[in-house]
Amino acid sequence: MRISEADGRKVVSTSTATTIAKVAGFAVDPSTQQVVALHLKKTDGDADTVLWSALTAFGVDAVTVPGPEVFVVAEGETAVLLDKHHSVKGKRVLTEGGDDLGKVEDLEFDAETGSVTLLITKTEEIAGKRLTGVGSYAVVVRHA
Amino acid sequence: MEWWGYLILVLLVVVIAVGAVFAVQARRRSGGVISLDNSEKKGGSGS
Amino acid sequence: MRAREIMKRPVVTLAGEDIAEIKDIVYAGEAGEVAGFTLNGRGLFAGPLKTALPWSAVHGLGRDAVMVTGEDVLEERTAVVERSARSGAGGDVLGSRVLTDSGTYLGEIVEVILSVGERADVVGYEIDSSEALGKDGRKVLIPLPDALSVSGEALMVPAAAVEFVTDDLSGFGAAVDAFRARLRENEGSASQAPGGTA
Repeated sequence: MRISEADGRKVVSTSTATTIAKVAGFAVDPSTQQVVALHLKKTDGDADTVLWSALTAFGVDAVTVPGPEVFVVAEGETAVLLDKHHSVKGKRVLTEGGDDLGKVEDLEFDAETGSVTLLITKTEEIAGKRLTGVGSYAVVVRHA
Repeated sequence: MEWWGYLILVLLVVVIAVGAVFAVQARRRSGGVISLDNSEKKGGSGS
Repeated sequence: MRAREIMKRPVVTLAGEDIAEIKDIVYAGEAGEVAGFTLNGRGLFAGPLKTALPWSAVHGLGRDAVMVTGEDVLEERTAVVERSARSGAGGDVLGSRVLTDSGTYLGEIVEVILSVGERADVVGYEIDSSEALGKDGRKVLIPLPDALSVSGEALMVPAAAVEFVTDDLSGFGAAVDAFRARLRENEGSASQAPGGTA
């Protein structure tokens, strides 16, 4: 599953079968190389985040959740990972040796586990497990 | 002088002031390749 | 690599934060070993920082950034570099004159060449050549011995260095090795010469 296709996907409640939000962003934790939370828009109320662990499924047409009760207001680490300074898309990629590999054009993740499989720039496809840091200036990846 | 003459003067002063700040900052930030006398270097084979 | 290319590069942690920018490259005058870098803050109006980056803390030196494990590796500026005298044996070598030990003026330093591995060492200067080199005032690279020497306002090189001058950076490493081999040869034959007074 790629961020480029999943952005904007509707989030559907399995209890009411209605759309209760849309995907607006992705929080990637570099220490586990996982998508750990989704930023949401068009929710009812203040809660604008859902943790990956609270999802029922991340499907091709919709993301399913039990209901709006699993939405939370992002706090702590998750809030940091979700703020716009840490958004992965468009961020330059630096190796731990200090060389620029291009900007993040897209990111591929496993729809079942949330595990990041690929970071994609114009010239490179970087294995997700090389991800070392996601910061306000750059995404840092280990050597192959 | 008309009122706009004074306005231009003020704008000029502002531009020069900002330029001066940039110039000073650029000088403070400019780097070089600095050679130290061995006797001046502190710290030893740290690590 | 050219030392001046490292200037202004961002210092980035492995977590992806840019914490500073490289200001000066600082090396021990005699051994030519790079001690570290002084820093500027990021952003147009940020001035020089009170912290500096010792060479031992550099995790990676690449084309686009200098990587460190975290902000905690930066040290007090005075631990890496004492304020050095502007004249004489300290200070910025860019613009300094290069003389051979036989007194020939070779040119002004416009760039310093580093050899970078586990350590980083100054191995050459790029100079605006004087007439003595017969290169029409072009920029040339001149190799340096292991031990560098200064004399007043000028930096000195053994006269033999002139024979190893080149304008090709990619072949410069070989020129440095060949030059230093020649110096060792010269030393060898000098010590075999019939001795005079001790």
